[in-house]
Amino acid sequence: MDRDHRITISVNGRRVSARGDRSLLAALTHEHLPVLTRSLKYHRPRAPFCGTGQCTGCLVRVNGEPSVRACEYLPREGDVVRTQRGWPSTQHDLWALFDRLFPRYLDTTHGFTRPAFLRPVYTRFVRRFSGQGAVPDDAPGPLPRPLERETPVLVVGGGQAALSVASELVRMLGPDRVLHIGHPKRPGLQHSLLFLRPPVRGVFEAVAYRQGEPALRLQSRAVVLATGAYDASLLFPGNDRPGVMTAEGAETFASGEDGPPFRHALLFGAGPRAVEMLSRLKGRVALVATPWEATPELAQEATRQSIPLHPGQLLLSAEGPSGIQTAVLKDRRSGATTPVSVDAIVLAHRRIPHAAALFQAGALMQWRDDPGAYFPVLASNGATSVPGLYAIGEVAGSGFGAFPEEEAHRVAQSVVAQLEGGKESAPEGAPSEGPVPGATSSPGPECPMLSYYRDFLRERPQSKVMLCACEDVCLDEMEGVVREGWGGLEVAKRISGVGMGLCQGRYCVPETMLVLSLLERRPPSEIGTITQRPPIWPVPLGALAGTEEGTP
Amino acid sequence: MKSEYDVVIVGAGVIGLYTAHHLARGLDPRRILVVDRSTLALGASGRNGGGVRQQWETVPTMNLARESVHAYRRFAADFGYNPWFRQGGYLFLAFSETEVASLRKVEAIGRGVHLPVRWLGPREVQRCVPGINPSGLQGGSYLSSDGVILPFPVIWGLAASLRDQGVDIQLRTDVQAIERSGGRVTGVRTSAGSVRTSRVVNAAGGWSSEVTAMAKLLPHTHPTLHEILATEPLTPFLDPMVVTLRRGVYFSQTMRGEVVGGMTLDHGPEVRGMASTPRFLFEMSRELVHLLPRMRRARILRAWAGYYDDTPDGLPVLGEEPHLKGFHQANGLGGHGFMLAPAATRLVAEGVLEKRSDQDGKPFAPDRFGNGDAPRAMERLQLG
Ligand SMILES: Cc1cc2nc3c(=O)[nH]c(=O)nc-3n(C[C@H](O)[C@H](O)[C@H](O)COP(=O)(O)OP(=O)(O)OC[C@H]3O[C@@H](n4cnc5c(N)ncnc54)[C@H](O)[C@@H]3O)c2cc1C
Ligand code: FES
Repeated sequence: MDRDHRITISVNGRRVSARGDRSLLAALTHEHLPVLTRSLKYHRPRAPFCGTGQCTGCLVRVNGEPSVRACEYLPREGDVVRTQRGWPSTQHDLWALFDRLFPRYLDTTHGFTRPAFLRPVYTRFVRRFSGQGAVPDDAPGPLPRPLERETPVLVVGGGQAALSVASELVRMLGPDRVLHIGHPKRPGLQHSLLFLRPPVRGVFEAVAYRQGEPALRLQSRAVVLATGAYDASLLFPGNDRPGVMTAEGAETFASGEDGPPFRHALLFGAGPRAVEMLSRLKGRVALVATPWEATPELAQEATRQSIPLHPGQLLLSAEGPSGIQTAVLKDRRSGATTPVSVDAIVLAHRRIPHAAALFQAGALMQWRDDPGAYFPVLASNGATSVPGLYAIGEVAGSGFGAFPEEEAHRVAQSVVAQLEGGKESAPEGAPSEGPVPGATSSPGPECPMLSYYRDFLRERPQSKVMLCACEDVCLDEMEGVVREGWGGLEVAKRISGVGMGLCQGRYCVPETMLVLSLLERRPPSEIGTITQRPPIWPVPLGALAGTEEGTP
Repeated sequence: MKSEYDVVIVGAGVIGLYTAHHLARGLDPRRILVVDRSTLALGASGRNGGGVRQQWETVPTMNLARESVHAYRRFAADFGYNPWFRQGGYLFLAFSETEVASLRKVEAIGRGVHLPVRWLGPREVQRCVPGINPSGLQGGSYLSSDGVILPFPVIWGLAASLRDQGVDIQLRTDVQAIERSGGRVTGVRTSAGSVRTSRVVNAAGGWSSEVTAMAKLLPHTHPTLHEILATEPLTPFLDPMVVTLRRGVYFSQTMRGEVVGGMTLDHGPEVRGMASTPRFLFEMSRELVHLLPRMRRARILRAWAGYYDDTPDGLPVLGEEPHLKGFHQANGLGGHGFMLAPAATRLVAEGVLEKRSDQDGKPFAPDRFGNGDAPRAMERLQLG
């Protein structure tokens, strides 16, 4: 396509000019991120947050398909785009009343129980407000059958680690014996792994999918996961406001024609990720706040760009009429509070591995206090506890931006040795769901994020802190759950709905583990985590349902 | 956990907890122990589709179901936990003459006990399920007071109420042996120590055959792996639970807006562990899109699996074992344990308390397996 190819689409009935080679979100963004949707229970305004096809901040209806992620959809001439939530409009939504009516949280577990004869009335009323988008319009046309493929080696990942391993393997085995599928960053636009079964007699079964195509059903003897990591969310009042975004989000949004959708951002983070963001967001960062001591590199870079740096801060709140005008910082040591005027908050303080497939395949996982997440237990050649399954790069625990090339070579060599030696002795059958395997905590200094949240919880914030933005579960609600005597992440999920939303728990589970650990006074490794259910990325039924011959 | 109880219930799923609830009315609650090897709601009771129906082929089951519907209508008010029981009806679809005949029979039996089951023609079905694929559709049987429930609040409500009454719920504790002497139960051995008791209730769901074997009895049940999926939450469009007899496909829309559905799949011995399979994802998607073509562009959000226990005649096993005094079965409820729990466990509790029951529990009694004959009564409306 011609790079300047302009097309016309309709957005809520208005004609909008767009570029066919940029995401729909780019067409909808002008200087500031648009409020595209409203949250599930309280109808809070929501704008894009993650930029990587995971959060629920940019869901719109496109040509009759509900909840399409604008950030990963390439518009086509004549597309009909509608925002799907809010009445009379997404911008001005009367139902935002619920947010005021329930200043702490709306308790649907204990609420609406009495009198018994009103049950059908309550049910009808509450049901009216359920759901994200309306059922899809009918779509005619054939549904091609999923493709089946056998490949000796499957490499999964879209970053440097995946590329290096894949090219080593191709060099050693030839291109026909290696299949490399990309993930994440633009999950919709590349094949992403939806499901990885533990091997049965040495053979892995996997399912992958790319937007608009039938699913891929794969069998392979060795799998290398280089799925990387993502920037985490952070708890503070106003953390779901338009203008709060992850570092990845800021990267994505900054690549638009107008540059980043903000002018004076607060960058929150203390390490290499924050350093990188400083150089990416040139001129648009007003100040840097770090949750703990800044690394010397970060301090240096901030000084070089003459950006003020506030070390050891709690992010207390973000406020504004809509979006963000001020943020309040509090020095963790002196207790001094500093209001700062900013129009965005960029979160670059913590990265969480994309480890769902490792859990699914039954790999032994281990809790690491820094950054506060589970990583696979690995041998020196990158082998996990599951024969034939390897992990490399950020998902395997090599820090951000620190990928050693020799590692790719080592992993590729052991994969080849395994294939040629034929000495795989895979455990039969699948592990059951149960307590997290290998959930041991390593002794050492306390998890930095845990001590951050300990300080934060002392502040007893008065307004809603969104723990799970997809399902509108607030911090207060989780405190209620623990107060009633329930505990552990699996139970907390089943009571509150935390982790059951469209991001598959990516933005709430890491925070909830730490919060529960503090509320229940148990180490994070005892809180457990939720089962990583397939699909790892939501997938249209039609991609799996096809019965017709041939590809589209 | 104390060293002696009046009754020990193995399994803290909906069956174990509801049994304890009924027993707490006749016994000192502090003398009741419920033991589970895992935490609450990790068994089938926390993994099911929440379907609650009264359309059955046999009258005794229909009666259990009807009583249970009454209990669930009051659950929120009684327990203070809201399972959002929504009576949007159950619609069984027929695509062949044989299916029409068997559903017509359900209709007749229902009417015989004053359950207003209605026959819907193809047009009415299409009105009831907007977007249903009409090809081959012959009609369906419909009962508006059937519905769907959220399972979790039922579990929390029961557990909280039992806890408040002083019943001991001992979690993360494995029952490893049933002690017996002279044809009577004398105790259970658990991973947290031994407990003396003269009465044990086997409410171990998918694991009930193991517990029966611990009592050195021949099991009547066998475990079945069942898979299910949920789509992204959609605004309300589907009122009833829709079921097809062929392949046992079912789907409904929850109060959260997700379309939740499953089907009967025979997994070979290859498949072990409580996890989903790719095969289910593909086959279920195909069935769902075939029945409701507009769903092709809706996304699957999650899929999961669970174990329940089936019996050869499709009826639950409720009551005391004839050859082991004090050993009470409360299992074999198949894919329907949630919807039958309140009434089925009332029968079990009455057996434990040696109370005479107003309902004939005979069709469910374990002695029907006594001499190896195939039991006569059969409930074939087994789905999911
Ligand atoms: C996917 C799926 C969908 C379903 N859909 C429906 C539906 O729509 N409607 C419906 O009515 N029913 C449905 N069912 C069936 C229903 O969930 C079960 O029949 C019901 O939950 C059984 O309850 P239970 O308490 O007997 O078993 P469970 O909830 O499984 O509880 C048994 C408990 O026993 C414990 N246990 C086992 N062995 C031991 C031991 N040795 N020591 C200690 N503890 C032990 C287990 O840990 C478990 O917690 C479905 C089931 C599944 C799996
Ligand atoms: S934030 Fe997405 S599921 Fe909780």
